[in-house]
Amino acid sequence: MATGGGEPKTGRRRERARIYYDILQSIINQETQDVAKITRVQNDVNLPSDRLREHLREMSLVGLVRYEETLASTEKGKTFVREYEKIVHVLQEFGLL
Amino acid sequence: MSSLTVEFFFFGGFVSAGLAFGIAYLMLASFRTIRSEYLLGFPIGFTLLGFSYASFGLAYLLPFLGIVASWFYLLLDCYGFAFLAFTYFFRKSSLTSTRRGPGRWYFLLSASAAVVVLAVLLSVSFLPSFREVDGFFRVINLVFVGYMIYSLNRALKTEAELSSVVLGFTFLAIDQYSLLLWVLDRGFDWAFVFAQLIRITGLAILVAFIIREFRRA
Repeated sequence: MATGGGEPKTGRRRERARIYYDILQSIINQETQDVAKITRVQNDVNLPSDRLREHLREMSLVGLVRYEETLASTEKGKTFVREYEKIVHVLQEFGLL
Repeated sequence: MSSLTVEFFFFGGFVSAGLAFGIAYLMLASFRTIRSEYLLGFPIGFTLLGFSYASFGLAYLLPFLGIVASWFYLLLDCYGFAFLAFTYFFRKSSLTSTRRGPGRWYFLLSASAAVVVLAVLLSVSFLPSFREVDGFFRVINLVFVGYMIYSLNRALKTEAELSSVVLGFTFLAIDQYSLLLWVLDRGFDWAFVFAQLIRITGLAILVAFIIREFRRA
């Protein structure tokens, strides 16, 4: 069974943690090939620019990403992605997601 | 009843309570990350089950509390399973509806649980023997657990192998069924003993599964 991104598309409003997960996942995926670009993150997570920048500022404040001239994930951000995927997997196995 | 039997039921109750509280704590951690309102039913449900099993153990440890503790055991057990079943119900309805229902229903269920517990405390001298209603609660609990297993199987329909969670909940259903058999024939003590063992096994399977998944690198 898929984890993390395997959550069904239900038309429900995404929770903040889910948005952070999607943003970090997009950044980490881009970093495996090149540097992360904000426009590609915006396309991946399907958020308007102003809301994405607001989330990135919040994530930067709690240390999940580095959001200065460049955009990059931090070790804390990578840990968050791993922990989030574990929790989603457990909830999926309980049939709750 | 021999002292060994009393000790077995006392320890069985408290071991079950510890396991249920453990599941509640681990599921609360999941809720704090995902923050979907309907998920709150799981930690609440397992917490109530924990208190219910602790009441069961207490009824054997302190016989003078027997009637109250036994009533708490019955009521909290039933409310615990109700919260778990409602979680599955709201999970399904949250997929098809955007109405915000779970919080309101959980509040009503919690309020009614608090009122019932208070009523039991205030009417100790008028309480009938819990044995008169034991069977009724077992049937209700079986309906709740049956609904949980049905919902879980529908959610996991693509899984080829037997899920530890399905196994754990099935053991909890067998626990309730064994208790129902014991209610129908009080002489069938092995059903009562078997129920304790199968309940501890079911809860232990659930705890082991969650810890293993959280520890997975």
